[in-house]
Amino acid sequence: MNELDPSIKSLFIIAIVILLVFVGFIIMVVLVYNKRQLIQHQENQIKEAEFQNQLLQKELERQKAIQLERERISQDMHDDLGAGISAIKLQAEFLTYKISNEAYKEDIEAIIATSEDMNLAMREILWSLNSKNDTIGNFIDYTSTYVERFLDKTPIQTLLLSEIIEEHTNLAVTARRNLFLVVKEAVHNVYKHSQAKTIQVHFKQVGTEFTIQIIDDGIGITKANKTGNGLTNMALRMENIKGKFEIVPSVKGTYIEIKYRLTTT
Amino acid sequence: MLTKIYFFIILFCLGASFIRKVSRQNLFYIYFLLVVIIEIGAFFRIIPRDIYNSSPLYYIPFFTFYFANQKKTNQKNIYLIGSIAFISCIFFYAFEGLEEYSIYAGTLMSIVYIVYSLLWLLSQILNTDENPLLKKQAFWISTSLLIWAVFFIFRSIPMYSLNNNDLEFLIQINFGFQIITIFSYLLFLRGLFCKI
Repeated sequence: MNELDPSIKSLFIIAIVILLVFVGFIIMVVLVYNKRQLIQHQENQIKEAEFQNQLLQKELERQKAIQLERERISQDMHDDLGAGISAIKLQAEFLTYKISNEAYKEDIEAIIATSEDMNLAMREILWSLNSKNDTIGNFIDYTSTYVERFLDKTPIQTLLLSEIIEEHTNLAVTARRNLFLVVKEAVHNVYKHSQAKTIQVHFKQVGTEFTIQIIDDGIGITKANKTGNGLTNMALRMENIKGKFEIVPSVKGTYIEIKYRLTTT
Repeated sequence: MLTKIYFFIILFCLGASFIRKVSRQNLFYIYFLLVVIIEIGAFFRIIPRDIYNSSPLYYIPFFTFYFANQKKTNQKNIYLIGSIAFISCIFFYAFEGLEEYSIYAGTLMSIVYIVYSLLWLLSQILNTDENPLLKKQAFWISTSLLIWAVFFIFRSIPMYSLNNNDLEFLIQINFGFQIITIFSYLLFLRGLFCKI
C-alpha cells in the first residue's frame, strides 16, 4: 500500500474527531435529558403535593364551614325550638291545674307527653349535630346513658360493657347518628317484643373495627317480627354508612351484632 | 459475507417496519422498500445501478417528512431545509447528470441528515418530556444518521481521488464504510422496535 496522501490523512483525522465530537454530543444529550427529566419529575411531584395540599386546605375549610353551620343550627334549635317546646309543656301543665274537665285533661296530658318526646328527640338531634361529640367515647357515653335511662323503669336488667382502645377515635356525624338509632331501635325492640329479663350491650373496638353487640335472653325473633320494619330499618341504616348488620343465631334470646369500620381522621 | 449480512439486516428492517405500529405510522416501510429495491436490485443488476446515484432525491424527502413529524415546533424549518436541499440536488443532477454518483448531492444529503439529527437532539434537551430518551424511535434514527453521515461525507469526498491514486485504500475505506452502514441499520432496527 502506498503512503497515504497527507491531505487524505488529515481528512480522516478530522472525520474521526468530528465523529467523536458527535458521539460525545449524543452522550451529553442523553445525560442532560435524563437530568432534566429528573428535575421535571421532582417539580411535578412538588406541584402535585401542592395541589393535594390545596385540596386538603379547601376540604378543611369546607369541613370547618359545615361545623360552624352545625353549631349555629344546634344553637338556634336549642334557643328557639327548645324554649318553645318547654313553654308548650309548661303551659299545658298549668292548664291541667286550671281545667277540671277530665276529657280535656287527657288531651292536655297527651300534649305534655308529646312535648316531652319532642324535647327528647330534639336533644338527640342536638347531640348528633354537635361536632364536639364526634368521638367514639362520647358516642358510647351518650348511648349507654340513653339505654340505662330508657330501661330504668322496666324490669329488664341492663349490662353495659365497653372494650375501647382509643376513646378519641373520630366517629363522623352520620355514622354516629345511624349507629345510635340502630341501638335505640334494638333496645326498643327488646323492651317491646322480647320479654327478656336482661339485656347486654357490648361496645368493642378491634383495630379500626367498631362492633356493638346487643344480646338479650328473651323469646328471640319470631317469624312475624323477622320481616318487620324495625329490622329492615336497622339493616338499611348500617348499609347507608357502609357497616354490617347481622342477627347472630343463638340458643336463647336475640343476638344482634353491628359492625362499622372507623376512619383514621 | 458482509453484503449478505447487510441485505439480511435491511430485509429484517423492512419486515419490522411493516409489523411495528410506530414504524408503520412513520412510513418506514416506504423507506426500507426503497432501500431494498435500490441496494438488492442494483446488486443483482435487476435494475440499473444508476438508480443508486439518484438516491438523495428519495431519502431527503423521506427524512424531511420523518423529522418534520417528530416535533411540530421545528416543522417549518425542517421543511425549508428539506426543500432547499431537494432543489439543490436537482440542480446538481442537472449539471452533473446521473451517470456518476454526485459527491455534492451525497454530501448535501449527509449534511441534511446531520442537521435534522442535531435539531432533534437539541429539541429534546429544550423540551424534555416524561418519556425516556432511549425509548424514543427518533433518538436511534438520529444517532444512526449522525454516525453514518459523518462517515459518508469523509468517505465520499476523497472517493474519486482515491479511485485514481490508491484503489486499494479506497476498497479498505469502503469495507469500513459497509461496517458503519450495517451498524447504522442495526441502530435503525433498534429504533423500529420503539413504541414512542
